[in-house]
Amino acid sequence: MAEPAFKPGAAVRVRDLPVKGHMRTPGYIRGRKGRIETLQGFFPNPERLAYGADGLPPVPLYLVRFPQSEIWPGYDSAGDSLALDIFEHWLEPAET
Amino acid sequence: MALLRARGLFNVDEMRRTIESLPPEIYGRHDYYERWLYTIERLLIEKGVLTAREIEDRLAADG
Amino acid sequence: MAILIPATPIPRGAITRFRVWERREAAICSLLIEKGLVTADEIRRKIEEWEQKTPADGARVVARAWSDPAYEARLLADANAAVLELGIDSSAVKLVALKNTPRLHHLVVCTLCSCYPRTILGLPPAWYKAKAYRSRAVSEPRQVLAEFGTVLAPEVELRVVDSTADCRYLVLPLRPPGSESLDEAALATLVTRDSMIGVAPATTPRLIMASGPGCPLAALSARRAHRRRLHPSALLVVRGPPLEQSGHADRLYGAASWSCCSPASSGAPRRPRCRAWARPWGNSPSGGP
Repeated sequence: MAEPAFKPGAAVRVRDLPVKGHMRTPGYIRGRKGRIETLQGFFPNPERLAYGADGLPPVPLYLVRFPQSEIWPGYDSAGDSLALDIFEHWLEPAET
Repeated sequence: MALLRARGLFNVDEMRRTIESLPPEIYGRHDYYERWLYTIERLLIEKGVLTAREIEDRLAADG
Repeated sequence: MAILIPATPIPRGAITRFRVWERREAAICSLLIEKGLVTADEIRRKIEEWEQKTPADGARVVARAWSDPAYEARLLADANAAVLELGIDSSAVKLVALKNTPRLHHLVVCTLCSCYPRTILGLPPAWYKAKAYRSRAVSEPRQVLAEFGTVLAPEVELRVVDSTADCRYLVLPLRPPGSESLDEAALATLVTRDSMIGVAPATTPRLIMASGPGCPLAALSARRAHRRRLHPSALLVVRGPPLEQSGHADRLYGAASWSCCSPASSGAPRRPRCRAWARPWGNSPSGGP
């Protein structure tokens, strides 16, 4: 399997890919900047599985953490965060 | 659903894709389990396991 | 699903009274059985298998983690392997344990559908699958927690985890104060489904008794606890001189709820001998008694 592109702690931004149909990257997180918390493993791509393909080769899946204030304007508890599992092809390096 | 997945008829992402594509009038009008029933029905028809006619005929025959 | 399937295919004409969707479900199931794709017994056994999964499995895991730091470390490193040590097979998904601390509280949601650690908690509650929870838990989680009766201090980080892919999350709630003397079985009874989702803390033991030898209140405690809807396993009996233990209990639980008196001897005034403290059933804010 390919090497994961991101290490824990890396700053990343969620890409806003023009995917139509099934995907597992929620709209609310597109374009937001966060940090890699951990690599969860390699899993088949759900966007291909959803249409009867085998989703291989498996894609790295990361738990990515975002400050809530980065996502919701006016979020008023400074230390709170939100973490999601995001597939590698939805992430790009962000400025630190 | 679990049995049909175990048989390899469809996987969880196909189920998710199908429920996400339910027409809004069905999605909004029905509860959680009803939506999944419609989803399974659509998948079974899509995969050629059952036909819409078979299901309607069975419903009509059972009154 | 398939709650109507009997041991044999449904005779035609037999399902006339049920609601539309139940008739549709029965029709589809009977067709699948006739085509040999599933059997009625397989459906029954699968329903039975899922209905037997309950939060008690998750509670056992949490109680073990509270009691055994080495187990907790294994659970945090590889939850699938750790729960298998307790006979729980969660191999269908990647299970991840999220440890709460006094400064960090986790809340789990699936905004996209209803992903939930079913292999260890059983079926999710209806509110978990509802749009209101799925949308508000990510955008206004503190308000959602408050609606569940859980208020976090501002300095506690609230981390919402959205189960968007192949991982399923189990919250390890904080071990409640007052539970130090409880064994693993008793600890497990304090771990609720909601505490393993993150909308509430684990239950704090509510009844503490200070009793002298032969105290009749100790004998009454279990019956009273049951009548007043206090969980029997939340009972802590502190043996020893009432006055010494009373001060400790007063500090933790407020004024005593019950007391009993020593038998009056001729001419002597009745005086309290034993006291019992209790609170109504329910949750308390994280970190507090």
